[in-house]
Amino acid sequence: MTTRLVEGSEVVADAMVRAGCRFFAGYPMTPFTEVLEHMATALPPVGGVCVNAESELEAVGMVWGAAAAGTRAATGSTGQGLSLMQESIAEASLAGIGFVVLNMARGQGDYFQATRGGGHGDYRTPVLAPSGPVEVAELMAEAFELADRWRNPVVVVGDYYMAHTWVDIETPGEVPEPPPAPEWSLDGHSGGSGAAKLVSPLGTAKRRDGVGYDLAAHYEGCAQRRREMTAGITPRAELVETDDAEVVLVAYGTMARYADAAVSALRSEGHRVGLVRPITLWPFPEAQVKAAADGSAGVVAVYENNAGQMIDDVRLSLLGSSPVVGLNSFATDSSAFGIAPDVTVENLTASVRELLSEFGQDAT
Amino acid sequence: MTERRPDGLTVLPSDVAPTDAIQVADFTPDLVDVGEHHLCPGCGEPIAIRAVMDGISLLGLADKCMAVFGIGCSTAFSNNLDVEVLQALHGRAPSVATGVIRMRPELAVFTIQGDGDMANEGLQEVLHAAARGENIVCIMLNNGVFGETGGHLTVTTTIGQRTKNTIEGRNAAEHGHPMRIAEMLAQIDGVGYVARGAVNDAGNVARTKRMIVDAFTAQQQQLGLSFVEILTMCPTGWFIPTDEAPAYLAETIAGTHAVGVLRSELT
Amino acid sequence: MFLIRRTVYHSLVEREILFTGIGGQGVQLAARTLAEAAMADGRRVQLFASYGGMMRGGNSDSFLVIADRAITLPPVVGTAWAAVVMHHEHAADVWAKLRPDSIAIINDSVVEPNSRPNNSAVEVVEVPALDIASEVGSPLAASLVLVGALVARTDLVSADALLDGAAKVLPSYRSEAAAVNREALAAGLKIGETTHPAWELSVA
Repeated sequence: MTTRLVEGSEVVADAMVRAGCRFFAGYPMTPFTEVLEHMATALPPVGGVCVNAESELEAVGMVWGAAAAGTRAATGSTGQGLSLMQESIAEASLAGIGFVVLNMARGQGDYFQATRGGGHGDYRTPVLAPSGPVEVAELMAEAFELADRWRNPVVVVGDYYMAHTWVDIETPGEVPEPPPAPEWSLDGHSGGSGAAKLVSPLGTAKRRDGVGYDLAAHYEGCAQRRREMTAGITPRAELVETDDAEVVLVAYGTMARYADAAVSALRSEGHRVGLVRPITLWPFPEAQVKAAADGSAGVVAVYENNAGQMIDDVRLSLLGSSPVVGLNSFATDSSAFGIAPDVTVENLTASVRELLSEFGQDAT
Repeated sequence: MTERRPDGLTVLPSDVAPTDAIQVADFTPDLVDVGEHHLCPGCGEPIAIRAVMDGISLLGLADKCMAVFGIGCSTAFSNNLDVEVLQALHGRAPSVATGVIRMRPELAVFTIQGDGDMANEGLQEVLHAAARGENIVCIMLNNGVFGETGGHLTVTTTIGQRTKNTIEGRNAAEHGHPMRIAEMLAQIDGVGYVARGAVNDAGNVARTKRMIVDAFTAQQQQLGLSFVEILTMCPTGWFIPTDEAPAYLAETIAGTHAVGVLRSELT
Repeated sequence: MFLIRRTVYHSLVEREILFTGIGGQGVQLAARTLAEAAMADGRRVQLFASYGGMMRGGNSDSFLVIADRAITLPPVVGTAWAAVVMHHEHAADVWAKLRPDSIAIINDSVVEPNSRPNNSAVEVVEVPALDIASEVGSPLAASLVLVGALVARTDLVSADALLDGAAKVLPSYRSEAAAVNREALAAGLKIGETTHPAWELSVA
């Protein structure tokens, strides 16, 4: 094994290939572009296909086809591109076609898009949020497992920082074989048998069985599958020093790395500060946030790179049992790629000190 | 009582059904599960679907093909065929078929879309799939209206044709010009076969079946994207009596969208 | 699932080096060359690259951290130990982040004389990088002259590792530039003696 200096985007691409992804389609957009470049290089040697789609609409359409044909498939973009894909993401949930959608977002303004779903209809998508390149490999494998298990699109959230952070990592060994095509998927061979398969967002009842498309029954079935999925996915979070914290920070993705460093700095000065880092954004780790807040004498502070979105889920987790404040008044840089120059450990530490003086034991 | 005409041909009584006649509703075309359809009387789409299925049957492709359906009146057949069907969203069938053919290149992958689906909602999809040389067959059932919504203007609606949103007839100054999709595709590098057929009379149905067989043959020979546009009757959406629809197609629709083979790389 | 982690407190030597310039000046190449050299020396690295939509002429910044152990710092560091400044356009944020004990290597061929560290305690090394790079045969390699100068003053990485880094970071379609880039690094390494040793604490 050798250690290489690898761009975060390549770590993401490598994680997808290792997780069994053999079809990828995408359209360039900063900061997603480099993932597409790396997939174009990584897939052909393992027998996979990467298509430079002419639009995000076509990218997600291609993934719909490849996934229905039994391949582990993924697409990605940044938030704007995901907006274009939403119709297909929503309907794929109803069709029972699972694939992974990567959002290399600009900042964290797409939290609602990811967790509520930007599309139409009664569906949800599981959402995973790695904190950086190091955690991507593990969560990407889980994303494909969830997509297979629940036959539903799964969103993995990254950002400019993750895409453009180069890390020294050990080059893993051989790429494992992807799992076999699932039973329900299409291979073209059931035609002429009198029982040809059908995969459709309108349901799979066939006219020869005397029913035809019965949307009421189909949508009820989809709702039931969604209820099972909601109950079947264990919400995950990492808790750092929350036991006696007077200020409990809640942050995900890159922002959690700043929060983690701020917790270390403040703890070394004797301040009681902790962090809850949601790893699954949907389902949201409500129990973990509640447990951390209940053990705290003070305040829950949500640190996110937007004007306040995840704070809604934190409030829903607590139902008023603790005060909740948002730490999210940042300027973004001139590129508007979601890099906030004032997101630094020093600035966060200063903000938390203010909270400690207001809510902590030193408060007057 | 059977009569005989002076030229010797039999004259059958017209007031009662012949005892051994097969009714249309009793007939089940090959690879179609249920023969009776729920589309409007006089609709051309069931004939077109049957022509496609006949072509697949003739070439022995039933157990090595996949249909990707769009959304429109013809979606009524997506759960009524004995070939594998992947239902796509409105406009998206060519990209969905691309995902399939890239992972299962051995299959005869084909799309079925109406003109509203393919040419309005998702025109760029078929153009890009053609230029990429995707080895699929794309079928467009062209009746010049959004039939499923009740007869509205599409990009192929001909000048003078009445639709619900061009109620006095399409005029170019107000509603723009019709687009000729087969002609557009025929000039793209990466296509194997392009033709426009029609199902308004027996002769055109037979020609259209040959076009379909040629298109699938080109696909089997890996010649790139093959395209067959099929003009279909929509008396409901054209606001004319059912029995006038075949003539209306010949005189009005086919005047803009001429029937014939536009390009063939078959040797 | 609860993943519960305790913070481990340890004294860690981390060296934060900020790079700034505009697109086309070789800022990202310089940062990656230094990162590769540090890895070859057995150290851990993390490099965050930030650049605008313009491939040429937009802002181009890098935040490099080199450490003895696994790096826990987030991508953008709030204060820094060194800076490599190719252009003044976006340098204000870099000047503001330099600690008093830090060192700034400045491209004197381009950076305006009034663009300098806010704190007079920062050691400033002015290098006519464009002239030196042109002398070795490639004005495009000016950023590597600065990196060579940084290493000459700090021993941040070993000279051999730095010179070998030149070839490692180039994509296949640029590999012909490896030789002249190595020359530029070597020219930089000749600029002065060690004034600011990077690893004094860890050696002691």
